[in-house]
Amino acid sequence: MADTWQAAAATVAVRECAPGPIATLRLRRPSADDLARIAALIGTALPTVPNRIADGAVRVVWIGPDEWLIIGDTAPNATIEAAATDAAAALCVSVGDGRCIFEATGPDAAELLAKATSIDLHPAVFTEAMSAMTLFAQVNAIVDRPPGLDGFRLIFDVSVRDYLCRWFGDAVVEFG
Amino acid sequence: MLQISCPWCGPRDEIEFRCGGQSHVIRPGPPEEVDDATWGRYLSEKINPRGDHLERWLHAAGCRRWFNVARDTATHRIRAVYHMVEAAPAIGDEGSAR
Repeated sequence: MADTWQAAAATVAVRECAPGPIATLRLRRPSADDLARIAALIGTALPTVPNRIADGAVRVVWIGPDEWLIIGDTAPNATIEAAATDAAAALCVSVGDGRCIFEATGPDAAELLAKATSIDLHPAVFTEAMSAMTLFAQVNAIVDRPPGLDGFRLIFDVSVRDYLCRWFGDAVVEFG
Repeated sequence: MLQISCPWCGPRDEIEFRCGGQSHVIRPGPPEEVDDATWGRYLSEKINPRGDHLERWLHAAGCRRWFNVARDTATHRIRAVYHMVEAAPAIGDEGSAR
Protein backbone atom coordinates (compact mmCIF):
# COMPACT_ATOMS: atom_id res chain seq x y z
CA MET A 1 0.00 0.00 0.00
CA ALA A 2 1.37 3.39 -0.92
CA ASP A 3 1.73 5.57 2.14
CA THR A 4 2.61 8.64 0.16
CA TRP A 5 -0.86 9.40 -1.14
CA GLN A 6 -1.64 13.07 -0.88
CA ALA A 7 -3.84 15.78 -2.28
CA ALA A 8 -2.98 19.41 -1.88
CA ALA A 9 -4.64 22.72 -2.66
CA ALA A 10 -3.68 26.30 -1.83
CA THR A 11 -5.13 26.34 1.67
CA VAL A 12 -5.48 22.69 2.66
CA ALA A 13 -3.49 19.50 2.22
CA VAL A 14 -4.43 15.90 2.91
CA ARG A 15 -1.88 13.15 3.19
CA GLU A 16 -1.96 9.56 4.25
CA CYS A 17 0.27 8.75 7.22
CA ALA A 18 2.31 5.62 7.51
CA PRO A 19 0.40 3.14 9.68
CA GLY A 20 1.83 2.53 13.15
CA PRO A 21 0.97 0.39 16.14
CA ILE A 22 -2.62 0.95 17.27
CA ALA A 23 -4.43 -1.04 19.95
CA THR A 24 -7.94 -1.07 21.34
CA LEU A 25 -7.96 -1.23 25.12
CA ARG A 26 -11.11 -2.07 27.01
CA LEU A 27 -11.20 -2.22 30.81
CA ARG A 28 -13.68 -4.00 33.04
CA ARG A 29 -15.34 -1.37 35.29
CA PRO A 30 -12.01 0.35 35.97
CA SER A 31 -11.35 1.87 39.38
CA ALA A 32 -9.06 4.85 39.91
CA ASP A 33 -6.32 2.39 40.93
CA ASP A 34 -6.78 0.39 37.70
CA LEU A 35 -6.51 3.57 35.63
CA ALA A 36 -3.38 4.66 37.48
CA ARG A 37 -1.76 1.23 37.05
CA ILE A 38 -2.50 1.10 33.31
CA ALA A 39 -1.28 4.68 32.94
CA ALA A 40 2.02 3.68 34.55
CA LEU A 41 2.27 0.62 32.26
CA ILE A 42 1.82 2.52 29.02
CA GLY A 43 3.41 5.77 30.20
CA THR A 44 0.32 7.86 29.46
CA ALA A 45 -2.74 8.82 31.49
CA LEU A 46 -6.04 7.44 30.17
CA PRO A 47 -8.42 10.35 29.47
CA THR A 48 -11.67 9.87 31.39
CA VAL A 49 -13.40 12.94 29.96
CA PRO A 50 -15.20 11.98 26.72
CA ASN A 51 -13.79 13.10 23.36
CA ARG A 52 -10.27 13.78 24.60
CA ILE A 53 -6.81 12.54 23.67
CA ALA A 54 -3.82 12.35 26.01
CA ASP A 55 -0.18 12.40 24.99
CA GLY A 56 2.63 10.69 26.81
CA ALA A 57 4.89 7.81 25.83
CA VAL A 58 2.01 6.84 23.54
CA ARG A 59 -1.13 8.68 22.44
CA VAL A 60 -4.40 7.58 24.05
CA VAL A 61 -7.77 8.44 22.51
CA TRP A 62 -11.07 8.19 24.43
CA ILE A 63 -13.52 6.17 22.32
CA GLY A 64 -15.95 5.04 25.02
CA PRO A 65 -16.49 5.20 28.77
CA ASP A 66 -14.37 2.07 29.30
CA GLU A 67 -12.57 1.97 25.97
CA TRP A 68 -9.49 3.69 24.56
CA LEU A 69 -7.32 3.62 21.47
CA ILE A 70 -3.58 3.42 22.16
CA ILE A 71 -1.50 4.85 19.33
CA GLY A 72 2.27 4.51 19.36
CA ASP A 73 4.03 6.67 16.80
CA THR A 74 7.33 4.90 17.07
CA ALA A 75 6.85 3.02 20.33
CA PRO A 76 7.10 -0.74 20.06
CA ASN A 77 4.15 -3.00 20.74
CA ALA A 78 5.65 -3.88 24.13
CA THR A 79 3.55 -1.27 25.96
CA ILE A 80 0.42 -2.61 24.33
CA GLU A 81 1.30 -6.16 25.33
CA ALA A 82 2.00 -5.00 28.88
CA ALA A 83 -1.44 -3.39 29.10
CA ALA A 84 -3.07 -6.56 27.75
CA THR A 85 -1.75 -8.66 30.62
CA ASP A 86 -3.10 -6.32 33.31
CA ALA A 87 -5.84 -7.76 35.53
CA ALA A 88 -8.26 -4.92 34.73
CA ALA A 89 -7.95 -5.35 30.96
CA ALA A 90 -10.98 -6.97 29.36
CA LEU A 91 -9.53 -6.56 25.91
CA CYS A 92 -6.32 -5.19 24.44
CA VAL A 93 -5.74 -6.09 20.83
CA SER A 94 -3.60 -4.70 18.06
CA VAL A 95 -5.76 -3.19 15.31
CA GLY A 96 -3.17 -1.04 13.50
CA ASP A 97 -3.01 -3.16 10.34
CA GLY A 98 -6.75 -2.72 9.92
CA ARG A 99 -6.69 1.06 10.05
CA CYS A 100 -5.54 3.85 7.77
CA ILE A 101 -4.68 7.34 8.93
CA PHE A 102 -5.01 10.65 7.11
CA GLU A 103 -3.91 14.11 8.12
CA ALA A 104 -5.68 17.24 6.89
CA THR A 105 -3.66 20.39 7.49
CA GLY A 106 -3.77 24.04 6.53
CA PRO A 107 -6.04 27.01 7.27
CA ASP A 108 -9.05 25.44 5.51
CA ALA A 109 -8.72 21.96 7.06
CA ALA A 110 -11.83 22.40 9.21
CA GLU A 111 -13.69 23.77 6.21
CA LEU A 112 -12.78 20.67 4.18
CA LEU A 113 -13.83 18.26 6.94
CA ALA A 114 -17.12 20.10 7.43
CA LYS A 115 -18.16 18.83 3.99
CA ALA A 116 -18.28 15.29 5.39
CA THR A 117 -19.22 15.55 9.06
CA SER A 118 -21.65 17.65 11.07
CA ILE A 119 -19.40 17.85 14.12
CA ASP A 120 -18.58 21.43 15.08
CA LEU A 121 -14.88 21.70 14.20
CA HIS A 122 -14.52 25.39 15.04
CA PRO A 123 -11.29 25.83 17.06
CA ALA A 124 -13.27 27.38 19.93
CA VAL A 125 -15.40 24.21 20.23
CA PHE A 126 -13.21 21.39 18.92
CA THR A 127 -10.13 22.44 20.80
CA GLU A 128 -6.66 20.96 20.70
CA ALA A 129 -6.45 17.42 22.11
CA MET A 130 -10.13 16.75 21.40
CA SER A 131 -11.38 13.83 19.38
CA ALA A 132 -14.65 12.38 18.15
CA MET A 133 -15.72 8.96 16.96
CA THR A 134 -18.32 9.73 14.35
CA LEU A 135 -19.42 9.31 10.74
CA PHE A 136 -17.25 10.97 8.11
CA ALA A 137 -18.40 10.83 4.48
CA GLN A 138 -20.84 8.08 5.57
CA VAL A 139 -18.11 5.85 7.04
CA ASN A 140 -17.00 5.34 10.64
CA ALA A 141 -14.11 7.54 11.62
CA ILE A 142 -12.17 8.91 14.53
CA VAL A 143 -11.43 12.59 14.01
CA ASP A 144 -8.99 14.26 16.34
CA ARG A 145 -6.86 17.38 16.75
CA PRO A 146 -3.47 16.24 18.00
CA PRO A 147 -1.54 18.89 19.94
CA GLY A 148 0.98 20.64 17.74
CA LEU A 149 -0.67 19.74 14.43
CA ASP A 150 -2.14 22.57 12.34
CA GLY A 151 -5.17 20.53 11.42
CA PHE A 152 -6.85 17.20 12.02
CA ARG A 153 -6.01 13.53 11.95
CA LEU A 154 -8.54 10.94 10.82
CA ILE A 155 -8.51 7.19 11.44
CA PHE A 156 -10.59 4.87 9.24
CA ASP A 157 -10.93 1.19 8.52
CA VAL A 158 -8.37 0.31 5.87
CA SER A 159 -11.11 -1.19 3.69
CA VAL A 160 -12.44 2.29 2.88
CA ARG A 161 -9.01 3.78 2.09
CA ASP A 162 -9.43 3.93 -1.68
CA TYR A 163 -12.89 5.48 -1.36
CA LEU A 164 -11.46 8.16 0.96
CA CYS A 165 -8.49 8.88 -1.30
CA ARG A 166 -10.98 9.60 -4.08
CA TRP A 167 -13.24 11.56 -1.72
CA PHE A 168 -10.38 13.74 -0.45
CA GLY A 169 -8.99 14.17 -3.95
CA ASP A 170 -12.35 15.49 -5.07
CA ALA A 171 -12.96 17.56 -1.93
CA VAL A 172 -9.72 19.57 -2.06
CA VAL A 173 -10.37 20.82 -5.61
CA GLU A 174 -12.56 23.73 -4.52
CA PHE A 175 -9.81 25.07 -2.27
CA GLY A 176 -7.73 26.06 -5.31
CA MET B 1 -33.00 14.92 10.94
CA LEU B 2 -32.97 14.82 14.73
CA GLN B 3 -29.99 15.97 16.68
CA ILE B 4 -29.62 13.70 19.70
CA SER B 5 -27.35 14.52 22.59
CA CYS B 6 -25.49 11.35 23.55
CA PRO B 7 -24.83 11.39 27.32
CA TRP B 8 -21.20 10.53 26.59
CA CYS B 9 -20.31 12.13 23.26
CA GLY B 10 -22.59 15.17 23.10
CA PRO B 11 -24.87 16.29 20.26
CA ARG B 12 -24.73 14.17 17.11
CA ASP B 13 -26.89 13.55 14.05
CA GLU B 14 -29.65 10.98 14.20
CA ILE B 15 -27.94 8.79 11.55
CA GLU B 16 -25.22 7.91 14.09
CA PHE B 17 -27.85 6.24 16.31
CA ARG B 18 -30.15 3.22 16.27
CA CYS B 19 -33.47 3.27 18.09
CA GLY B 20 -34.10 0.26 20.31
CA GLY B 21 -37.76 0.90 21.02
CA GLN B 22 -39.56 1.26 24.31
CA SER B 23 -37.39 1.52 27.40
CA HIS B 24 -37.93 0.30 30.96
CA VAL B 25 -39.53 -2.96 29.78
CA ILE B 26 -38.92 -5.47 32.56
CA ARG B 27 -38.07 -9.02 31.55
CA PRO B 28 -40.33 -11.52 33.31
CA GLY B 29 -38.74 -14.30 35.29
CA PRO B 30 -37.52 -16.73 36.37
CA PRO B 31 -37.90 -18.08 32.81
CA GLU B 32 -39.14 -21.58 33.74
CA GLU B 33 -42.11 -20.06 35.60
CA VAL B 34 -43.21 -17.68 32.84
CA ASP B 35 -46.13 -18.82 30.72
CA ASP B 36 -46.40 -18.32 26.96
CA ALA B 37 -48.89 -15.49 27.22
CA THR B 38 -46.56 -13.49 29.48
CA TRP B 39 -43.59 -14.09 27.15
CA GLY B 40 -45.75 -13.01 24.23
CA ARG B 41 -46.70 -9.78 25.95
CA TYR B 42 -43.07 -9.13 26.94
CA LEU B 43 -41.76 -9.68 23.42
CA SER B 44 -44.53 -8.21 21.30
CA GLU B 45 -46.71 -5.77 23.17
CA LYS B 46 -45.28 -2.29 23.22
CA ILE B 47 -47.00 0.99 23.89
CA ASN B 48 -47.42 3.40 21.00
CA PRO B 49 -48.21 6.75 22.57
CA ARG B 50 -48.80 10.06 20.89
CA GLY B 51 -46.66 12.33 23.06
CA ASP B 52 -43.94 11.57 25.55
CA HIS B 53 -42.25 8.22 25.01
CA LEU B 54 -39.26 6.71 26.81
CA GLU B 55 -36.98 4.95 24.33
CA ARG B 56 -33.64 3.18 24.22
CA TRP B 57 -31.11 4.47 21.70
CA LEU B 58 -27.69 3.14 20.71
CA HIS B 59 -24.91 5.51 19.65
CA ALA B 60 -23.79 3.06 16.97
CA ALA B 61 -21.23 5.27 15.19
CA GLY B 62 -19.78 6.83 18.34
CA CYS B 63 -19.25 5.42 21.81
CA ARG B 64 -21.47 2.36 21.01
CA ARG B 65 -23.34 2.65 24.30
CA TRP B 66 -27.07 2.36 24.97
CA PHE B 67 -28.89 5.19 26.71
CA ASN B 68 -32.45 6.42 27.23
CA VAL B 69 -34.23 9.24 25.42
CA ALA B 70 -37.54 10.83 26.43
CA ARG B 71 -38.99 11.95 23.10
CA ASP B 72 -42.33 13.43 22.14
CA THR B 73 -43.54 11.20 19.29
CA ALA B 74 -45.75 13.93 17.87
CA THR B 75 -43.22 16.75 17.75
CA HIS B 76 -39.89 14.82 17.95
CA ARG B 77 -38.92 17.16 20.76
CA ILE B 78 -36.39 15.44 23.02
CA ARG B 79 -37.35 16.14 26.61
CA ALA B 80 -34.54 14.29 28.40
CA VAL B 81 -31.52 12.06 27.82
CA TYR B 82 -30.31 9.78 30.60
CA HIS B 83 -28.14 6.73 31.25
CA MET B 84 -29.48 3.15 31.17
CA VAL B 85 -29.13 2.70 34.92
CA GLU B 86 -31.05 5.88 35.74
CA ALA B 87 -34.75 6.02 36.54
CA ALA B 88 -37.10 7.76 34.13
CA PRO B 89 -37.14 11.51 34.79
CA ALA B 90 -40.35 13.26 35.78
CA ILE B 91 -41.56 15.11 32.70
CA GLY B 92 -43.90 17.97 33.44
CA ASP B 93 -46.19 19.80 31.06
CA GLU B 94 -43.95 22.81 30.94
CA GLY B 95 -42.10 23.01 27.67
CA SER B 96 -44.45 20.65 25.87
CA ALA B 97 -44.33 21.75 22.27
CA ARG B 98 -47.86 20.68 21.36
